[in-house]
Amino acid sequence: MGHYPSSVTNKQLFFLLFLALTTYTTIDLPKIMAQSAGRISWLPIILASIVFAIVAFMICKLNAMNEGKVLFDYGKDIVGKYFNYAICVFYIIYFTIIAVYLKTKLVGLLSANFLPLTPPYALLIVGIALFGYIAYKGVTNVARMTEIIGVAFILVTTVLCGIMIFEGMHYNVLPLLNPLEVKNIVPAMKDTITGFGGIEILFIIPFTALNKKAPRQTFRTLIIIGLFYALIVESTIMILGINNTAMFNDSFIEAIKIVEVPIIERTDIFYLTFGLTSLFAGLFIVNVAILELACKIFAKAKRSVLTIIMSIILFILAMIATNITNIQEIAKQSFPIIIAIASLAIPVVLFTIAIIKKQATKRRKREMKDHEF
Amino acid sequence: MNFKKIKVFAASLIMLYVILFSSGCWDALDLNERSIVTTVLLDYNEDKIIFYIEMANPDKATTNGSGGGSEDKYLVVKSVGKDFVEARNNANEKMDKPVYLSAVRSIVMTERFAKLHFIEYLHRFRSDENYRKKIDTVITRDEPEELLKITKEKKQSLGFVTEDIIETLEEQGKSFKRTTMRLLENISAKYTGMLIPCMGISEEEIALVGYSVVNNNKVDGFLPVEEIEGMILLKAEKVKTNYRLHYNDMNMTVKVTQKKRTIKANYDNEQISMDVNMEYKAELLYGDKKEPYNFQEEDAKALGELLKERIKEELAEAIGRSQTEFNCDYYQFDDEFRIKYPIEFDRMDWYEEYPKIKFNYNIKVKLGTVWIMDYSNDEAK
Repeated sequence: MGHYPSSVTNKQLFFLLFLALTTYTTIDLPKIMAQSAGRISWLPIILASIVFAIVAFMICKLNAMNEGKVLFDYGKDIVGKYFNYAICVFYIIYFTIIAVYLKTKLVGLLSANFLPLTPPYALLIVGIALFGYIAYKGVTNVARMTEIIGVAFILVTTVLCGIMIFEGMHYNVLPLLNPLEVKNIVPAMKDTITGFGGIEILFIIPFTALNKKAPRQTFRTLIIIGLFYALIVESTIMILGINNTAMFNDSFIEAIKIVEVPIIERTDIFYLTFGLTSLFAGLFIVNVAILELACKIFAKAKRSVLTIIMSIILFILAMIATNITNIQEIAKQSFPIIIAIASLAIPVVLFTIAIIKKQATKRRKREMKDHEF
Repeated sequence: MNFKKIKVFAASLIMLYVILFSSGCWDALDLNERSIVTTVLLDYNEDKIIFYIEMANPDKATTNGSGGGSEDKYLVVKSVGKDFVEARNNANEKMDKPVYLSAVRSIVMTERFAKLHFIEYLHRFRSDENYRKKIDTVITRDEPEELLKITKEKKQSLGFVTEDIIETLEEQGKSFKRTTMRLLENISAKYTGMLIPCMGISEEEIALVGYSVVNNNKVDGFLPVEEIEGMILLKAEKVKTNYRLHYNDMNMTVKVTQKKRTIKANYDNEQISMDVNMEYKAELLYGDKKEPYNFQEEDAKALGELLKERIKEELAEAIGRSQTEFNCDYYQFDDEFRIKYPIEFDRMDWYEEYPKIKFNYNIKVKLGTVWIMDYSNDEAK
């Protein structure tokens, strides 16, 4: 009782990554990019997607080298027992911060658009109970769910972006390569980090023989996500203009409000119905990541007990976070750093050490063979 | 067995909780309990900001004719204040229900209001996320009370009428639509020059009477609707118009549809020039003389040339007027130049450069006819 399968197919991996990364990014990325890069936004996004695709490839390689194991199992072989514990605890704290932040975003979106009178605690109780229950069911079940949610989310968002490009003004995004904005590319790449934070969930997915092509597919997935982000940012700028995009908090939603779609008067509500599924899926994934890591660290504890403890902690933290007025500013300042550590630094370091160790083992084996002769 | 019962009980409890507290009771709000605003009319008089807030009257929609309900389909609340905050507070004091701004069709500003508070109100619009974002913003030179009197008599909403007129004219290729968001983008850009539709009273009807010129964030000009032919050729999306041309002692009516419009910016020896390239499909509809017209191919060419000259004249007049009379690039030529020469554009002051730009016109007209004309033995149909 309490043990659920955690393997996923390559197709599920695509949707899992897609939804883990795009949770809230679709809504606030246009504003962030318009502020930092201007009309050249598409370029740092694509470049960042290549960087993250390489790192995701590394994580997949690590998983493939240790078939059937997750970070907690094979990490001790790479960095030793204590460092491995430290890394896993860091990831639990990291996923908890992300989960709390996403919950405040979810409450904010629901309050602003659908349930203005419902107090945050009521939304949080329902949400956290739901997320806890789904996390309890394990990675495989969440992955299956993302297959359905992912198709609807990608389809609706892409179609709406297509309409936005059709209805938007080309001169809002041109010139695509302004020499005056080239200097913005590197600083803007730093701002895209938040949008690509999420690849570290690969650490909680054990690979099987079915995932042989996973590294290459993950690489492609990240590039597709980069293109998807570029599409969202460019279509938003086409509709709103560069200055409006930089001014509005939820600029993608504001842009959707202007789109003329036959029959649908409130295009924003229509989108949010699907856009929220991505946020929900992101929360499912983050919750399952916390729980999987907690189950590994506290191996003797019951999964159900850990689920309840996790949910209570998340509820308390989310309640505190909803009362912090400048949480957006805090997140803007701190997230690039912690996401860079979680999504870039740790995977690169682990991969580098693993490769060095692998080479050293090979060399030792070769030397031993030579000695035998 | 007991465990199953507990599960069912727990599930029922959660369902009940969701239904009662998450979406049902807390957020249930009857339509009649909101003041659904359809138009915001803004005026400035005697140092005071005046709001006229037009709202749908749900009582009219639901009344069965016996008592209670007013006969007006739309109600108007007037509020006054020394600034926006005070005027809005004053309006709130008169509202019996919370205001719902997501259904506003149009914002109408009097010219005297727009001259002073145009920018501030647009910023106010941007900061209020409840406002419907597809709103049209228009200016009026007439008195607000007069406009509202007409719509009241006709049981119309000023916001809806304004929106419908602009949409219809745009569909017919006789005007253009700019949402308030586009105006906001324009006022935030390095250079600001634009045209805003001006609504007014024409023969006791609400009508488009012209366009207000916004130059460098100030309303400082007016183009009457009788003088906008050239401007429409440059601004409207699907230009369709009729011309009456005098040829061979006859007046010929020609239907003209714009097929292509491109503006190409050039920058040589610190001189900006623009190539205005237009392609039109023209169709000879009828003449004012008895048939047969004995129209030959050379006649078609000559008429085409005549039309070309006429269009060129109108374009030159429209652009020239923007350069000399208004000194305002409301055609957004700045965007064309910025896209091609971003570094040069960043360095220059477009307000100074615009009046000096040279324009080259390249107009192509393809003239056809309809079958009832005895035109060139069907050759040029």
